Amino acid sequence: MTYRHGSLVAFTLLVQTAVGSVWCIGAALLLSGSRFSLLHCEWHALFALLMVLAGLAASIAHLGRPGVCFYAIRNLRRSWLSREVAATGAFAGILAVMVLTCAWSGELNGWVVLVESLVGGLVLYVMVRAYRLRTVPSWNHAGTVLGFLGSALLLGGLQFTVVSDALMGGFHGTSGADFLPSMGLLVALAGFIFKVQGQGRSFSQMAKSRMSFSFSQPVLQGSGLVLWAISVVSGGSISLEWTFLSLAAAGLVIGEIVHRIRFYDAYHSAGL
Amino acid sequence: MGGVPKRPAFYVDTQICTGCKTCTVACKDKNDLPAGVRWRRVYEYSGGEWLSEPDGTFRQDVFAYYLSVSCNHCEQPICVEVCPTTAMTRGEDGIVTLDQTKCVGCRYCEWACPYGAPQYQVDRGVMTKCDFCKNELTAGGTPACVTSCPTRALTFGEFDDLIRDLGPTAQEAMAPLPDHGLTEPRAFFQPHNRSRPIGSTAGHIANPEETSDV
Repeated sequence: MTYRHGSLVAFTLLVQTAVGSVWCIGAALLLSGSRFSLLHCEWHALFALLMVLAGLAASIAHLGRPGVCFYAIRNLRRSWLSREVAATGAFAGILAVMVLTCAWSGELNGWVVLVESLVGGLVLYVMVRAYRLRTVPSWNHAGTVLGFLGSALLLGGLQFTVVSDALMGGFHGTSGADFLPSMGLLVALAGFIFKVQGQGRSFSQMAKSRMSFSFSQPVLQGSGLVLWAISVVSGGSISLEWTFLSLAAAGLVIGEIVHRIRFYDAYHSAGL
Repeated sequence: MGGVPKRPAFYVDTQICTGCKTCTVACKDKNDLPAGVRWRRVYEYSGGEWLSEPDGTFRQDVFAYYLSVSCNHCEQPICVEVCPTTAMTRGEDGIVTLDQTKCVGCRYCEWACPYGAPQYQVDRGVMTKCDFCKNELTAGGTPACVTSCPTRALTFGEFDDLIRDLGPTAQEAMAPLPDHGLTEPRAFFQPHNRSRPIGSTAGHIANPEETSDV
């Protein structure tokens, strides 16, 4: 059995993760200034870049003729799909600049982060527009906007926290970094709320098929957030913190995959 | 008829279409289409129920009619709009064609088209679609589907002539077709006397296995 939209599930989720993590990098920089820059900023940017590159590779995999994939940016004048590909490419390019400048100077350039955050917003916008087809009512609603934005915040916050935690061997006691896990959790919580709101708007479409499968996403992700909160407050024990964070990450990521599969399965044309 | 009409359009009289699917077979034969690829499809839309009468008896309200649908070469073709490679284009004559050398096989047009016109050819990894048998029209002939129709339910003509001859009712959509306002199809469907309005859920497509890969 093959799932036709697997590569698109991977592409959208990986790119949205990278966008969210760049927003978290920007927020951390804004809140802590140079202290964050010293905390392995290049690794944060590198992981985000790897996400985007993996996403682009996955998107190529779903093409019938991957060898000529670069043709896909020929219709920038009219096609939102062309714009999505181009914007994602630009996002990856600026992210590569971020990685190199960080590795070179050891500090994040605030202007580059600002531009990249804005380009990340643009990527999300064109991604939403690519799916909001006037002939596909099951996608052409506010739930798509909220769902994609929610995924970016939720997965971006998670990636940012996991990378920070891995690099520092736990947050607690790290000078100037104590706020990072709480910030990541708050960002993810905001994303979860957006996603739940988005599902409310598209509830009638969701309710048409596989009710239990569609409801497994909020349950998984809600549990994940609770476990994440426990990991934040379980100060002192690194092993306990990692155990809870790993379980939380599993719940959140599986919930995202479930939700995105549901999104593609909900496709329903206005016509035949 | 000599040469390609200025704005060719299909006309389907659902009142006399018997759903024989000769048009589908003729199209596949003429264009040598592989299994699973159907540039023209015949949808059987049917429904009905038992209605109780005041005297305690029941009568049936069954209906069924056929819609032969291919690419409608729309005035606002969403396939052209969404195609990321410019492989889909609309020519001077209004015929929407596909340049397969440019197609990357992303299948985005397949998602977007509310008529299911662009069809994916798995072995070549590209989309395919009806080109109104443009080579036949250029040679003064008619599209294969039109030529083959035994009841003459399916014809074609100049868009403006058809509007003038058929009147505005022939441009009204019926279930299960989408609202014409979405893409402004350049095709006419003469309503069946039992046809249901667009958006109606009174019936269902009774032959999904013949119209799409399910």
